[in-house]
Amino acid sequence: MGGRGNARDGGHAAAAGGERADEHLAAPRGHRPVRDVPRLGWLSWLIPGRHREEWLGDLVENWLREMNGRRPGPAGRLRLYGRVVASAVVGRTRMIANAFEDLWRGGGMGTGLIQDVRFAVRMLRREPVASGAALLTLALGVWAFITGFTLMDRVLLRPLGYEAEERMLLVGRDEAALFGVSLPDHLELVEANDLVERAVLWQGWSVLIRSEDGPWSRASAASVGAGFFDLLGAEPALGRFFTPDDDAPGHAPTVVLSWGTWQSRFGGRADVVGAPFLAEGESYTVVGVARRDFRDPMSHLFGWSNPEVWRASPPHFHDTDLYDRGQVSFWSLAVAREEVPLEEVRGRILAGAAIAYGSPEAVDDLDAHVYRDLVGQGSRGSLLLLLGAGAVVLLVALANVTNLLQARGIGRTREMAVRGSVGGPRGRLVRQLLAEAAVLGLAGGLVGVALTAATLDRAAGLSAGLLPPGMELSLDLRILAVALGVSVAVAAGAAVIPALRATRASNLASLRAGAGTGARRTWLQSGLVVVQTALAVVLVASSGLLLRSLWALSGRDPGFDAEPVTVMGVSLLPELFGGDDEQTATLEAVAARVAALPGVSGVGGITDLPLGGAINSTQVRRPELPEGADGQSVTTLVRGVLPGWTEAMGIPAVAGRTIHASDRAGALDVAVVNRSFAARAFPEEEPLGRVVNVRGVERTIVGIVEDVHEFNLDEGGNAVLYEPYAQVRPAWMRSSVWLTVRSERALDPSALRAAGAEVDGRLPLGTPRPMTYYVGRTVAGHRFRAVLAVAFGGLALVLAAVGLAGVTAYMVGRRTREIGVRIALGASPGGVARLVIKGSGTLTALGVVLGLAGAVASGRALAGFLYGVSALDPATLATAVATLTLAALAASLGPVRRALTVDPVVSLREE
Amino acid sequence: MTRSTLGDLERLVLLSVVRLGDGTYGAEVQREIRERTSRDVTPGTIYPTLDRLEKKGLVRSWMGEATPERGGRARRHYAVLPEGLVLAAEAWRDIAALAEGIEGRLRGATGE
Repeated sequence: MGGRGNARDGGHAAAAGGERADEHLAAPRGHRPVRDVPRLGWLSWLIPGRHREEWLGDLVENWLREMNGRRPGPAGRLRLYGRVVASAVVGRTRMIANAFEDLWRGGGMGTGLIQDVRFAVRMLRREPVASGAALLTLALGVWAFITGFTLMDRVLLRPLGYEAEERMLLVGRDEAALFGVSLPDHLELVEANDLVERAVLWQGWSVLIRSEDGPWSRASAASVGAGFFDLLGAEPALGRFFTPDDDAPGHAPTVVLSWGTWQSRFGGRADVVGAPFLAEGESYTVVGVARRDFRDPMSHLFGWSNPEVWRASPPHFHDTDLYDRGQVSFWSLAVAREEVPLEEVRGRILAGAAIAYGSPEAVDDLDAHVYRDLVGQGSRGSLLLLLGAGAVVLLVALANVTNLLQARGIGRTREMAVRGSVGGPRGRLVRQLLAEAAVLGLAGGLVGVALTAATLDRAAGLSAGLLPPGMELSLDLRILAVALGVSVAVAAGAAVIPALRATRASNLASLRAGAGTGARRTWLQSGLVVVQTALAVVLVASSGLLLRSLWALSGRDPGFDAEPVTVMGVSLLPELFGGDDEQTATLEAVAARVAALPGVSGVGGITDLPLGGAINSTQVRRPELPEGADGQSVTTLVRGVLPGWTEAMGIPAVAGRTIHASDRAGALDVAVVNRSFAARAFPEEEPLGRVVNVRGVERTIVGIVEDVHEFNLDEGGNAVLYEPYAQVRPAWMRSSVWLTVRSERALDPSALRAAGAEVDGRLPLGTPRPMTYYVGRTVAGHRFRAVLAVAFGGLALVLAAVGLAGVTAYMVGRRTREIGVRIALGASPGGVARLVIKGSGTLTALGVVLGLAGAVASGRALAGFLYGVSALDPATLATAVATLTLAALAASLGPVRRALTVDPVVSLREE
Repeated sequence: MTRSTLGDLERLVLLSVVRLGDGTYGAEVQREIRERTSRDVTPGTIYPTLDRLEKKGLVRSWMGEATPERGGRARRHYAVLPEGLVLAAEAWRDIAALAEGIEGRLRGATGE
């Protein structure tokens, strides 16, 4: 080693830095006046702290050498400042680069990221049960959260792909636009509105269709204004969409096929454009095919299946007979002008309606809704609930993983303390803990994603009604990223406290003391147990409330007897069954045959089944009252029924008679109404014998029956008017009927179908289903939420119990000596058990109190989903508390047994 | 522990510390490299590199006293450790072995 060897203060003692240039009033000795040196203190923060002193010193030294005794001018000073900044930039960049390189390769210690990960995997495998539990909790949390997120993303977050989505308005009745408006409403209020850029009519069309020589079958379809596809900004997959010519009265009948229909009924043939398409006696010309991903906005909104075909402006769109405000089966889709606020457009439409109807009250909840806000409105709550439950399970997972890593950190505190005391790097443990967290997080995330992928179809099935049918759920990269991100974030969050503690300088004290950092460990673990218990109380109480709602609803009387009734759809195609009389005759023949089946005690039929999902409504009027008068016009569900309907369904009669076989076409036009209609149309009067106007027909009310639930079991009170099927006009309103068969013993579905086929082999028949199927369908949402809450509640309960068992066992371990002394002094087993249970009991009590507060809050949030039970239901809350207390007791059993078997001699000797 | 490998800058700084002898410091290393090689270095390159050498157990350091020619700031002194000397020797040997017989050509290439 060559060198100048000038003796310097070689040695280990680190001399204090002493004075600094910026404190030069206490200037040190020396030949050159320090005041020539510019102050650098204000720049010193730029330099990494570890080397600030010598780094600045070096810069000054070399700069002074260059000045060579000259007094520095402003340029010279500036040069020094520049060097400070430049060197800081270069140095910091290099340090960051070095740190990354070290992290990856191992900074000279053979301990890089790869080694950390390998080590983490080894550590996790060493305790497979604890690691597995943490991983599984994490995976379940991710699964719940990501399932919820996927559903929500699909239904609420993702754009629907319509061109002017955010300016799209839907004009209908009811707060969810569930009911339509009339033709004049559309033409006068929307189409003629100068704040509206474009508007089209939309009407549902349940139609019997057939392609060439194929079989007839019923399909959902839609009748739309010609501008429909243009308004949505859709592009055809084949051919063209409708043009303004298709809107003209008397135009040639045209249809656009859905992709699915093109594939299934036309085999995807390219020459389908121009082909004939038979639908209910009419031959339409196919002009184009919609793209595979095109979703009809109305079907999307109401959760119906996508239409198989769209026809352009059928003749009744121009039918002046329908030009009355009573026929409210249309929806009006509009795009507002770009520069006009939507509220203003809405205001204009409502003002127009108030004028058209005579007064704002008479408008009867007609409203212009922002389309985007309506989508997912019904399922938003359930989806948020799912997401929330997932988040709670993630929190429980966070507590669990924290506990695992903390235990691991404690185990290695001594090792770390030793390393730290001999100058080893302290950050190593933090890195290892973080690596373990990352490995756990990634693994948990991947397992969670795999679980989600495997169960997504089932989740979509369970959440039927939350999701528009035909909408597929799929995982994509974005969702994968969210899943892994959430998982790793939770795991990393769990590592923070253990990492901070394990590297605390005072750990050296613990090394000397020879004991673990016991008190603090218990504090953290106890805190986690309290939190887990509280979360479990919240989830158990919530699942209790949701379960009770489900039970209350399931036990709810729908207003008819569902048990003994079987339902079968029958389609009476006007072109096959000719005029009105033939449809009636065919239907009555089928009903007669079914009535003759063994065990059948009653047969009826109805055009729209209660709880069947149909929502066509009509404005029924009292002709003698002036427009706008109270009860003059009632939004009513109008149904055609066969004689025997009321009896077969077991609907109680209130007054008058029901529909008879003698109520035929040509006889007096009659109607039977339900209690709600009677109360709304005739609040102060006797309805029997009065005349109402239903779609232009004056009908005499001959009977009143009890209400039944029409849409779901939560709500009721819809006004319903039953008219004799034989008197229903026009014919297209008679083409589908639900046959309702009451029988005291189980019906053979094939016998039902056979009865229909015997009458006419061409008759399209649906699958016979028990009425309970349709009733059960309406509580699907409640069942979904209850199943979910019970699953997560149970999971949280088990996890809390495991946490409590762990912390109690640990406390017993620490107090072995004390317990030994007590036993030696003659403490009874009961006393010892009390001692142990007191510890876990305190934690449980704390958790339960916190949890009750949380349960009250979550009950409030759940209020919208509850039925027949209060959000603060004392019985449910008490049951939740009792469940948790029992679980806590069970969790203490093991530790209690251990405490009772403590041998005082052994325990004292050990210490 | 596996033997460390040296980066380009690490090799220059290590050789400078060996050259300047125990007790040398940042500014001196900086001047040495600037005068003897084509590299212009600043404390921003020197200190992170010295940190790495220290971490690898090749040099050690200690703080000195404040001196007026540094504006009252202290120096951090460095000394090479045995392991560092071995690596410096290897670095020199490798270069020398590869350069053997082509010194003339190499000189010519740099215009010396």
